Amino acid sequence: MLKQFFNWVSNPAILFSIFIVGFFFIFPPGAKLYRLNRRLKLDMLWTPAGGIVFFSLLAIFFLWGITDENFRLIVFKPDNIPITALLFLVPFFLWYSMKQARDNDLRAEKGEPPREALDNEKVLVWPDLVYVEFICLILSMALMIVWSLFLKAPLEEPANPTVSPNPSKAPWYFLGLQEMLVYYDPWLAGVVLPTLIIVGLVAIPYMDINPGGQGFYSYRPRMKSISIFLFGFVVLWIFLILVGTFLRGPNWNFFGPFEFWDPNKREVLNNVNLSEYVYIFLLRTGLPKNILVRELFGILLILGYFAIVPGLLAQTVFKRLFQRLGVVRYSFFIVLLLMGLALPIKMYTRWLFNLKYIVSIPEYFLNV
Amino acid sequence: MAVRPQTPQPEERHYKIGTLNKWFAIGSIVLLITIIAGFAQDYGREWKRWQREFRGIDQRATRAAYDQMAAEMEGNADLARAREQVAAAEESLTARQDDVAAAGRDVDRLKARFDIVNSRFQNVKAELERARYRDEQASANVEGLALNSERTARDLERWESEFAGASVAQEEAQLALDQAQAALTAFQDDVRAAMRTRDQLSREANLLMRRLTRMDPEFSPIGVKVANVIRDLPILDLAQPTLKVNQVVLPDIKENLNFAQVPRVDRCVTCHLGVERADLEGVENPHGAHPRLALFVASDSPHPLEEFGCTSCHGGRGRATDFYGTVHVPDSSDQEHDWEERLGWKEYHLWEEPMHPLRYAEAGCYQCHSGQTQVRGADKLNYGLALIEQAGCYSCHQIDSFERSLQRGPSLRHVADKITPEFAFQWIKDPAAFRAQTWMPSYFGQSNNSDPESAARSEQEVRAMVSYLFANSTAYPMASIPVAGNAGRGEELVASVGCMACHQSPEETAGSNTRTAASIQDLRRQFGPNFQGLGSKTSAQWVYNWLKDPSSYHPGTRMPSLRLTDQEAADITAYLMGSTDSAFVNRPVPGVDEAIIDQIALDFLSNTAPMITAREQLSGMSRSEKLEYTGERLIGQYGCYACHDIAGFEGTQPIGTELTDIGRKALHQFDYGFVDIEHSRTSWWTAKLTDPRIFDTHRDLSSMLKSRMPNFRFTDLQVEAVVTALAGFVETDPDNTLIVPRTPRNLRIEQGQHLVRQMNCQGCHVIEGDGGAVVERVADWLERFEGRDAADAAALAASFSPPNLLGEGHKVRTDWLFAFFHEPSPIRPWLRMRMPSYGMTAEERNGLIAYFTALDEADYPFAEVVQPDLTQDELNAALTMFSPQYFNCTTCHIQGDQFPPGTPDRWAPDFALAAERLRPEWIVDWLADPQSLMPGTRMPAFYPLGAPGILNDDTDHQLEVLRDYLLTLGTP
Repeated sequence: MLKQFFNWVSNPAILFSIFIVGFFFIFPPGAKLYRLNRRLKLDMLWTPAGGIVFFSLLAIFFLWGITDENFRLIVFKPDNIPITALLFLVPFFLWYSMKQARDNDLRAEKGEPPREALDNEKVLVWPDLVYVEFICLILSMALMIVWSLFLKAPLEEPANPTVSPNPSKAPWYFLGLQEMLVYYDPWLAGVVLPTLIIVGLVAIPYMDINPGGQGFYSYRPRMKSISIFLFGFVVLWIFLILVGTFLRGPNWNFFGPFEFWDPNKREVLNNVNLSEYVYIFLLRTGLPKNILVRELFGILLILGYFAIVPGLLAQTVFKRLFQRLGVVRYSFFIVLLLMGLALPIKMYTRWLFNLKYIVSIPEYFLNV
Repeated sequence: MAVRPQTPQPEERHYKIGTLNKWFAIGSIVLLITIIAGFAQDYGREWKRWQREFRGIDQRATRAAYDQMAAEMEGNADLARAREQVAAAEESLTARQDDVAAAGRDVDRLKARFDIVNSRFQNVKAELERARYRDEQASANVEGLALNSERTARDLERWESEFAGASVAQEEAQLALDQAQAALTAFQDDVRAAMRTRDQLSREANLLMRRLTRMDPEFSPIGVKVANVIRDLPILDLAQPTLKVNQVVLPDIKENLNFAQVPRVDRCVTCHLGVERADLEGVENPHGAHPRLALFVASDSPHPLEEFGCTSCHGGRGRATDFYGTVHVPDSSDQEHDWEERLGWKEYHLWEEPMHPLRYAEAGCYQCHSGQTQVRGADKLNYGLALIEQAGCYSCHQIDSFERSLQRGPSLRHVADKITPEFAFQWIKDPAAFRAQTWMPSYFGQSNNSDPESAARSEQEVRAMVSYLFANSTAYPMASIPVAGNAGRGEELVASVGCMACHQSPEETAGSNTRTAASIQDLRRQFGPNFQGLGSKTSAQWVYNWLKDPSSYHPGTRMPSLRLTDQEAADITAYLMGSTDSAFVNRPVPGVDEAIIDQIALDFLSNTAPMITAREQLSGMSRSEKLEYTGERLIGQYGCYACHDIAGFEGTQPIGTELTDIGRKALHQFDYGFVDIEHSRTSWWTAKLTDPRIFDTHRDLSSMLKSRMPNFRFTDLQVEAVVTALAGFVETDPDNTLIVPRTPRNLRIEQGQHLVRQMNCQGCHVIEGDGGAVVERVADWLERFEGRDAADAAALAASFSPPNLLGEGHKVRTDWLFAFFHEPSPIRPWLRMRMPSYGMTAEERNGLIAYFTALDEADYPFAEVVQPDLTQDELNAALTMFSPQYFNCTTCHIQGDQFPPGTPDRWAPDFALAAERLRPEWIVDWLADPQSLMPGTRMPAFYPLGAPGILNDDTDHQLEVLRDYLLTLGTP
């Protein structure tokens, strides 16, 4: 029963929605949500007690999960061990930094300086730093040796050009990108978006001109920045890696964590382009011959998304941000943000409406 | 001057140095432990355990061999004498010790002298060389040297004379030394000779002892023991360890890794150390010897380890050195559990060529022997191949090695003149109900079409197919039976003329409801259909006409003509028609259900046209048109035409999956559906052959998409044999140099074996040591119709059976054999069995002659001719030898129209046939030693004794004369 429930929850639309909604409660991007967060005492998560509860629940779920053969099979596959570790390590470091941020926020409320300010910023290289590094080196080496002793290199059968493994998975650190390929044309998901991720990361220091909270862990003074960054990192990157590793099975179908990976599983996947929605289902005429006319609505939609939405946001949600950043910085920021948001939007339209492409011009290999 | 850095004050530190020291200590110890664990894991490889275990086994076996050898030597008088001689010689040597010592001193002295003289000689020789060279330079006036040629000539002269003196002195010293040495060794000559004799006699024991001292702690000196330990220590073991990975590299047998062909490397012998050792036969795995050393592995066998390795036959991953990675595959679930417990076995998914489970091991033979119809020594594989031939698998499934096999079932072109539509209906619907042994497989009433709806549809499908067959049947002109038949005489004829070589009598098959064939020999007797219920199946007139001339009804039939007279054919007909099965033919035949027929027709029509068009087409058809249309499409759908010749299906491609390379088909290409069985090729085939429709279980399939493979009702044993053959069906690798060589002789043999199989020659004859299936029925005939008792009949059966064809190619003349195949004439008139007329083409006859001559490596196509040329004396000698005085040939042999006295079971072939039938060189070989040509023959061996007093006792001459005389007997 419980397993069925988890399998059902693992349906991408449900799980992703839970993650998005939960995310903004836990990492509030604005003052209102922040107050709500505090009132609901969600910030207790960042206390040692909250951490113990959270990680205990995670561990219990995991330990209970590995009693199931299908779960065990996928979690303990030698290839997947790093991602199983990721499942614990990313939340842990997130928790650790957020714990420090919360401490400092509380100190700030009481008018105390942040904890980091108490240090005299003096770094003792010898022997402290070098010694500690050396000890870490020794322990990491021991860990690597033990790992290699217990888990052999996951070599597979001789490669055969005529037989593709099913599922064919990218290396784990690229599984987020592979997940994007489901929703976007390869040139977008494989070329444009990864480039923009790098460009965006490079651009952060130029766009983040908020002097608050610099030099120490904090959340409140920079909640918008942290929330947006963590949304991109945790939800759109780490979460997709986990999904790609544990929940994507043969034929790239979704499988619950307790479901057998049946290569013959059948799903309804009849994807429809926006132009087909408009002309065939709405207007009940055929698709127009002229490509531009056919894709007019999609093109307008995309133009509107990038031309009108930034303006709207600047007048409403991002009013103060717009004033603070100025036109140029704001434009770069908002384009990058909209690009990032385009992924979850596209995911939802796919899950909810089977929307294939907004603009589909296969004649010129241009699909958006 | 360098400033000493101030030691930071303790309170300025982030960490307590003591704590860090502790962590450092802990970390170092942990790292050390992990490194030791790494070494331990690396040095504790699984195979070392087996090698250590094997050492014990080897020690015990060698000790036992040594003890046995030692015991044998105890009782060896020669050895005892040799030992005594050694002792005596040594004693006498001691007695002369002073002389020996003096001789030894002589040698020492002379050796010292020789060294001095020899060193001087070497110096002088070098000086001479230099002087000669300088003199040559001077005479050539080499520029820049300005040598005085007079002085160089003088030098040369001087050194030449010095050299002459030195070389004489050296030779003298050498001679003196040699003599002294000879004198010294002469004292020891006796001892040495005695020792040599002793060592010769105990050589093998000494070898065993040497092995024991190398490896058995009980016998080895302390130095060896220590060395053996040190050799296996970590890191030091790079030099010459006692425990090491052994491998066979096979550059000629490639392993296909998709991108690359790499030489096979088999490390199996790392653990299977005793695989070549005959003295370890029967020892448990992995230490024991290969169970068939005469055929495999041993260096003098046809498949030596160094050339063939292990995985080229057995499969598996030869480069691995642990039980898991070598992809052993258990033979049974018991073994699987045992392996899991003892050896930590688990399934290995990542190698496409897992080992053949032991019971399918013979599959490996067929990779290289695929040209052969049967592979000697591989009984299960042969049985499987014969079953595939018998069941006609190759008709629907293309298999390259069965390319030349004939259509399996009878022609249906004149079916209306043979059977009734009612019989055809019942037969197609459930052939096994009529004859449990029939090779016609069951299409209906199977696991995926037995529900009521499918059953109703099945009946209509059969009706439609029958309609098509009978509507397209053309007339077969039959002669009426001219005489009345006698069933009793018919029964005797059937039992005696040879029908039983290919058919089973109704008495034999009555009552059995499963397949009975358990061996290839049994299959030979099921080559043709059995006769059960024949009277209910067809008409007497058809049977009569069929017996008289089978090919007039079915030109491709393998049924030969036995040249029956009208009376004989009528008798046999009367007998065969006596077996009836009225219950079967009287089963109800359902009427045509037009709704179902419409649905079937629509299913087919809509396959090729849109449903609307299909409906229109259907509405334009009459009832009989619908029936014929659906019948035709159904015959196509079920592939009936692959085995039967059916009008309208000429040249249609068969419907089955090609099986030529099925043994390598990738595992993911097998559809297991919802059937929970082990995912391996062999278990898939086993399930499929046991229930061909099994993979439709739980599937929701339309009638058109259901599995169609019919059920051949194989027994488990038969399934196993067929699976063995299937596992061996792999496309031959053209680079494999170990394939049975494509020599003309081998090709002739392979082609011949195929013809022999197609005509079921081994139903009667023993060929290549196998066959003669009919002999047991000949015994039965002798018992029932000739009044012999059982023991007598069994003993005489071979004499009344067709001959063993061992050595046929060497024995008979090719031109005679060619004519004989065309029109057989009796050679052994006492035999009731008849050589049938097969109506072979010239190509087939030549093929068989090529085969027999290739087997015996006899001259082909033409053979030597000998013109008998006897003088009067020689003729007289021949007649004398023929007479009762000597060999008394005519007590057994027929000569023209003179039959020998005594009962026919003692008779031998007619001399009159010798000249045209036999090869002259064979006659000589035969007379000289009949047993070597045909072991067990009744022909007496007169030679090498020969005929004393004839032709000056020259046996060679006697044989020649006898041969020439025999060759004159036939010519008028």
